Amino acid sequence: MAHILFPVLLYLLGVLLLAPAGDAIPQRFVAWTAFAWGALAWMIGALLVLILPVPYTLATIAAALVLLAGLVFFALRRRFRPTSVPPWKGLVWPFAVFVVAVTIPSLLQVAEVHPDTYDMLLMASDLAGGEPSPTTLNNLGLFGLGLPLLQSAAPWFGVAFFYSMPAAFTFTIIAALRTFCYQGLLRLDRSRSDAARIANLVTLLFASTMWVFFQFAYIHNGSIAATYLLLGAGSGWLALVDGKKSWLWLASFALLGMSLARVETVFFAIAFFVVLLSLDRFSIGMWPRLLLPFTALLLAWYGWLLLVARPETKFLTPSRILVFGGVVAIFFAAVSSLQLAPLHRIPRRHLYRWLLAALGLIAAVMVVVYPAERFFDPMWSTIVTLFLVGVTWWGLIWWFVVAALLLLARAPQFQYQRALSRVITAFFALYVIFGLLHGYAAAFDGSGNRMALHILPVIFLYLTLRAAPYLAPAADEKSLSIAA
Amino acid sequence: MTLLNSRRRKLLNYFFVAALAFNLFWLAGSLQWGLFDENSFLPSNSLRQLAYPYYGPSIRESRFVGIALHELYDAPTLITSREILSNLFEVEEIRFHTREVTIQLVADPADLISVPPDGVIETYTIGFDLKEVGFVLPDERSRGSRTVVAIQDGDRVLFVPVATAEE
Repeated sequence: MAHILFPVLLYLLGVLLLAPAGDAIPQRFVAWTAFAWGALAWMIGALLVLILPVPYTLATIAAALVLLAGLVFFALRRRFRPTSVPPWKGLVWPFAVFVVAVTIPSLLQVAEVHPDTYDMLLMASDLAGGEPSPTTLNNLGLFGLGLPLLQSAAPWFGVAFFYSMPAAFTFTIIAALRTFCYQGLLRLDRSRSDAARIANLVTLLFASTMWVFFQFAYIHNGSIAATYLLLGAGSGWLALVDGKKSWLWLASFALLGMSLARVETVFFAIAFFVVLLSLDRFSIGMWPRLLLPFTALLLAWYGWLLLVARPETKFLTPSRILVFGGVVAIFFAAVSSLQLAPLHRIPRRHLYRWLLAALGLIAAVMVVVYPAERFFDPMWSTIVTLFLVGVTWWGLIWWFVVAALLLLARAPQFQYQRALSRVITAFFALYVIFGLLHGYAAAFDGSGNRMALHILPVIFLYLTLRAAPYLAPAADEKSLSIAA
Repeated sequence: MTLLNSRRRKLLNYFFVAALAFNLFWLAGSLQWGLFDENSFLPSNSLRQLAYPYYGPSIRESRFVGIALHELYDAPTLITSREILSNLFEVEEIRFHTREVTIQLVADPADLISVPPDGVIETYTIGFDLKEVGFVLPDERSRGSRTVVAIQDGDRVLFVPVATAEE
């Protein structure tokens, strides 16, 4: 029962947190993605308890969540008008499907594991014990926070670990992809029936892929990162199209979730912020406020890692923590300074080009410095993993992606297409750099293969919107503008 | 607005249908009929596959293996737990990412002969009861003990099982 109860509580927490936003965030969207926001709140609450001098217990985390919910409530109530529609309207079906999704693996006790899974579950168990061992502290620099923090609740609920957690995230990815595709097609003036049909088909193709389906039982951090990257990309795109800050705030919190999911994902999040910033849709004055929670929480986390945990792993060492924290701090300072008189003339639309140039330069230096095989081996491994050997777990998905990209290359551009195409490009640029740094094995459980899952839903969303001109335009465009 | 020409449109549809059909066929085959058990879409060191040889040809049976990891926590260290499991299930190789060393498990005791004896690090006996660690196995392999020799071979450590209580 605990396997079902905990994700359900997180789902309800997500609904509770976003309910005060009223009409600013469609209730249907909240209903399908609530788990991810509740899980993020848990991660933030648990992180605060971990780094503050209070015991790491269920009671202290619950207290942190109450404080967090209060803050969110007052922040949202101040900005948004409450909706006249009761918050539970539209919740029944999504909630029922979510409960079924988390119940099945719980009843069947299905768990697929990776060697890392043992370490992360041991970390979770150790954290719940209140006094993390040196091994756990060290492993925080290797595996990131997301999964250990979420699974650390398991011993308090009387179980070793939650079978249901991967299913909850995989459900959210699939539901969010369907919602974004549908909402996106409506905004591109396609008819409701076409939008629903295409969104359903795309979601079916995505969810039926063996590697995606496998995630329902696979206890790892890949599905967590993929969830928040998709939520960030989809919300970010909707923010640009609708010009609504509420979506942008959601995107910024989703990117925080992504940054907590794995160690290196903070760089992907920052690249994503640069993409949003370079499209220049929102005033520069709001960016420091937008980035403040992201920056403050990550700096607090890095500070704690540096001063308390002091991991010595192949990913994070004290010196690298300084680099990670420095990048986050410098990015915040740079964005904040853009509103100052001498700097506000800098054309923000060039920021993305600078980012790509910087990533290209880093990759070029690495290619020159490292032996040739260090570059070619991970790249060849990636190709083998996605297109050749990987057909047994990816199916024909990556072949389809390449074919669709080529066939749609000359299709008319959709609104703010660059937001998604740039996120995808920046992702692959970083993917190559991290491949050069650590190497990717041509294997099912290699990190290159697992990381490819992070971006696949965003690519599916991009391709769906790119294919919108295929579909008949809506008969009554006005009625479709902000339909939920 | 320039729509895509019908040829490209048809090609895109074909790719979509092919990918979807492949997915559904593969998924249904795997779940329902166990058609692809021997294919390597499972991670080489997942517990599911570790358990597979003892669960017959149907992937459905091995899919529903319950894993009570908390029982493993009683083991002195996580590494030992992995060693126990790995020796039991005769896995050829496990990579320990955290230690950056490849630990190879050799199932065949005869392999011991080919390893230089001066590299032996440690010899120890591991007792196990698979029911206690959460597996329900259908035969006597669920209980017993196994003597393992750890051998340094360059930058690798080989764990060679040399005997079991049953043997």
